[in-house]
Amino acid sequence: MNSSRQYLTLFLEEARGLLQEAENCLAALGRDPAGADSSHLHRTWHSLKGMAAALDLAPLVSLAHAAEERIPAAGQDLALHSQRQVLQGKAMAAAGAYLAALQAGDPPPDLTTTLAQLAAPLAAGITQAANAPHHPIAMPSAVRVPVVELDALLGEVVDLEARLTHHIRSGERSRADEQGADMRRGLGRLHHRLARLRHIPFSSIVPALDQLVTADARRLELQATLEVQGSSQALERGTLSLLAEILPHILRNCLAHGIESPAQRRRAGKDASGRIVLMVQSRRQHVDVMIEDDGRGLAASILADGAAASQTASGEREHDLASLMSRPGWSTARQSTEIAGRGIGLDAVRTRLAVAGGTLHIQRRTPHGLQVRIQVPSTLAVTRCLVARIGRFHLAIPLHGLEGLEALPAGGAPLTTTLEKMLAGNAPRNPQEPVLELSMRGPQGRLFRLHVHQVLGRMDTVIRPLPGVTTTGALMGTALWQGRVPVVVLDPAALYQLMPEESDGPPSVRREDPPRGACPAAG
Amino acid sequence: MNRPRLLFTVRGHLLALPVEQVMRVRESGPTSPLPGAHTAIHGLAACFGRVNLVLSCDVLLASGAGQVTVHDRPPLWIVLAGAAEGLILEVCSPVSFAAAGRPAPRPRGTRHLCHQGEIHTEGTAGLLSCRRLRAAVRRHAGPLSGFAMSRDLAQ
Repeated sequence: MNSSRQYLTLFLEEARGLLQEAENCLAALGRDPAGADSSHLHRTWHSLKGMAAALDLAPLVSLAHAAEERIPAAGQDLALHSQRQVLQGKAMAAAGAYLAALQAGDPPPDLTTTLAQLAAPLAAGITQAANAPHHPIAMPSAVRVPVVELDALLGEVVDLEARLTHHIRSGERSRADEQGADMRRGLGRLHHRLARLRHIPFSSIVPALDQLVTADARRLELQATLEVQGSSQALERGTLSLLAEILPHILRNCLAHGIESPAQRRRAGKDASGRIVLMVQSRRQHVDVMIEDDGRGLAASILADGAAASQTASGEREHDLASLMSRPGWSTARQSTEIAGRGIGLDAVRTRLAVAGGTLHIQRRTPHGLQVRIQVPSTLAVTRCLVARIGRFHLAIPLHGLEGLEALPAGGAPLTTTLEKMLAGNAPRNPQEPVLELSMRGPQGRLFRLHVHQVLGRMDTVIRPLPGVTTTGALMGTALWQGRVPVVVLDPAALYQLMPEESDGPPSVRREDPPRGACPAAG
Repeated sequence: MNRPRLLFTVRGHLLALPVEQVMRVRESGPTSPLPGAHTAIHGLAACFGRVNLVLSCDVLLASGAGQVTVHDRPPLWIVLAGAAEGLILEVCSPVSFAAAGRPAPRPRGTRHLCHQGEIHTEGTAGLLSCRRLRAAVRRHAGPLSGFAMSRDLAQ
């Protein structure tokens, strides 16, 4: 390897690391435009510019320089901040593509368009609706635990440890079953107590929801109030986090499509201020959430238009409203706004719920308004996964993402190595090994298939993040199979996004669009 | 504050870790591969009931110097705690425990992992930085686990 090639290798490694850190910084700015520090973005582009100049990579130098000029800053007009964030994302994507081409030895991509976008003047006060930041509701990062609970937990652990020690020392094989059952009972109690510690009252996210309704109503020149019933109920953290993710979409839909302007409401004999009621009911296996508004509801004519536009049979029944309304791109809004009307929200909600094992139902209310009912599992802390092997990799796939399993003949069609390339590049594989085909569901209900060599079993597990790595790719995290074998947990939706649109020959992973007329988000 | 260090060697470099960041020093064990990871990450290992990433200090230091060579697997693991919990370092041999040494410039070739040097009786040691270790993990973790870059690499 000559010295310039050596330096290029080092450069690529360092540049990728810098970009990755910059992307984390950009994500932090998206979450907290006012508070996050953007100085790291400056350093990143500056370092990249310097390194690229040393290698005489002029287009990359220009890109880094232009991106440096468009760093979002704290205290900036929100619209400018948002546009700069979008431009930063584009610059990073372009730089990533440039680096990938350099690594592959391909001709570098043309950066002219990105450079022009970066150089174009920005206008304060104008946001691109599709890219307007939606600040996620922050979940509490800590839980308060009463000392008495901790004492009880400690007592369980000490008791379990003492019994385990006794069983080991006594070594009575004849009582092994009895002792095993005793241990399982003890561990079950411990599991239950620990799970209870993860519960957080629903009221912890109510102020943020309330604020969202007030702010968005003001932007839409409406009046609306949010009334929450059952807010004192404690929900498992994962379940609450899921609700915090999807409820803003639904509340925005209520405001944008349901609640009328004060004048319209007065003409209809209603109070000038619209009312949205959110009811939470925790049950044994699931949590019911119902959102009702007293707005205009959905006129039959709009439904018929929507059904016709979606090329489906007319005459949707009442209980199928969710299927119709959550089709990608279907919206009752005549004009898209920053808040709603792009036909994305409900589709995203339904897909997200389906992946988590939840459901969405929408009904018309009599005499007016809409009722949205959501059902989510009472706990998302423990995920049920299928454990499989591909080559030498052990992988877990959440069962919610799986649709079916089919065995293919051994030595049949050779696998192209799309997934295996993604996994390792050269995973050893026996071509005569039988192959199992898993049908998986990606975003918007699209099916794709994944070939695995062996299904090892099923497990309930707590998925943990990969230490030191931001697991925002196709890996959800890690888990231990049978308490001793590390497995990586795949995120089917993210994996689908990584798949090439088409591949030559019989693929190891195939994408498939849903059949025409079928509901893509039907789950 | 005089916080003790664990001193050890890798590729002829003397390195130091504050002992509060060391959970256990043990013999190396079996690992499972991490999809897409580069050679600096040997794989995943189950330890203390959780999945840990096994990092090769050897390769991390070598990649910093631009010379990656494959050696026999080092015989020891340092299971990290605190800010670096979930990471395991593969090392050649521990040297000793020592009190924190006087600050010194970083030894040559340790820039990727150490933020400063320390003078000890055994020589100048590079003081490992958890932040740099995590940055190294992100660099080497590979296309399936990366942030945004993954898509370009996967295609």
